[in-house]
Amino acid sequence: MREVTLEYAETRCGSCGRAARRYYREGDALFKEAEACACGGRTTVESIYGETHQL
Amino acid sequence: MDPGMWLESLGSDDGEMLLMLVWVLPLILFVFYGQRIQLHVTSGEIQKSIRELDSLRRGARAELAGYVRSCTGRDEGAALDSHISGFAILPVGIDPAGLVGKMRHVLRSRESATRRSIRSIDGMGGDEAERAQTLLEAASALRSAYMAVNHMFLTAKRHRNYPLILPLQMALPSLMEEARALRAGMSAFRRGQPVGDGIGPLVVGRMMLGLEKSEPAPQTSMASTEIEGRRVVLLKARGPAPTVGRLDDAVCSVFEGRRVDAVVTVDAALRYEGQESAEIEEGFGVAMGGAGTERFAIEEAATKAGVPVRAVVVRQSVREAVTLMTRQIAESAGEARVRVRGAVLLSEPGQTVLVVGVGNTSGVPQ
Repeated sequence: MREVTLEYAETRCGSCGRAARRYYREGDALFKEAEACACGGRTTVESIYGETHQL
Repeated sequence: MDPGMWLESLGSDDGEMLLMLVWVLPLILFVFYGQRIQLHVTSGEIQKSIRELDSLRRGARAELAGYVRSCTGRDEGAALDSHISGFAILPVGIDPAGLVGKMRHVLRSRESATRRSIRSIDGMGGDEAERAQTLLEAASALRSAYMAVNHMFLTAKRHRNYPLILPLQMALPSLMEEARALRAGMSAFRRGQPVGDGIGPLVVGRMMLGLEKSEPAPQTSMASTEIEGRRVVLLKARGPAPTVGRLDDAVCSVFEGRRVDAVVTVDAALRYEGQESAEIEEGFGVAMGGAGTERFAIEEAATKAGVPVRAVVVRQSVREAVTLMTRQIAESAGEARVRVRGAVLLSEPGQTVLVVGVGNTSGVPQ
């Protein structure tokens, strides 16, 4: 059985508080500014983690 | 032979002799050659593990060399090999007085020398050097594991001594688990991602956001804040480079500089078999792994000052501690922060509490 770990980053908007989860991108770092939110606010990376799945 | 006749023959003298041989021969064989037979059976299993360990250490070495090449543009394999095979001889324990200081000195000397050598390579500096050093430590640990296991196996085989192989057979499953975890975790350290062991720095790092920081000891960050009238001094290894900092030196300097009324340590701790990962527990004492020299210094400082030392731990497996942080552990950070706050509030208003985030701060800034 093979294991695959998918890497995620969770971001949160400082203006509207919207949280989003996406795949981890190289350069992502905790508490670092990430992409702009749909509301125009700034988001920061709140969490970086992996989820392991059995194939 | 007809089965019926064979059954009948068992009742005759010849049959009894045959039956006796069936029982007695293996008995004699096991009395005189039992160890060799066991050695032969166990050998196959151990050889398989040794082959895997060999592959893990080669992979670790290749990953380290590849990372350094990506930073410098040159192959530094030969220089790295001398560090991978480097070792530290721990001081003799015949006279235990002052043993911890000597141990600390030897381990620090090795660490500093490795750091200097890595930084002396053109193109290696800053976080890259810290990452390379962590990868080097992993590669060195895997090499040592391979060499030790292979040595014990070959010695047992050369002397045809089964009892020699018994401790190896017993220790191998957990050793292999740790070796696989260490190899798997190298990717997270190389890419600057947080690992499970970073939960302590993650909890304290978030509490330090936006505060003014100082560096009380090398690779260590400190900030001060207030929680409901208590002065809180926050300490963690300086991230996001993968380091555990020098928390013992930092804690001692805090004790020297001001009155501390309580210490709270936050760290990852090994979970028990059957226990859920990311479970948070509270207790007393310094939650800190490693060789024990840092823990000793903090315990001594707290004992001299006569202050309580509390611990908040997040349970996890060996693999989870050294690989990319799992979702459960990342999500436990909020609850752990609440527990730390609760531990701080056990002191009286106006008192000073030292909160220490223990662990590898890879990917966790402050």
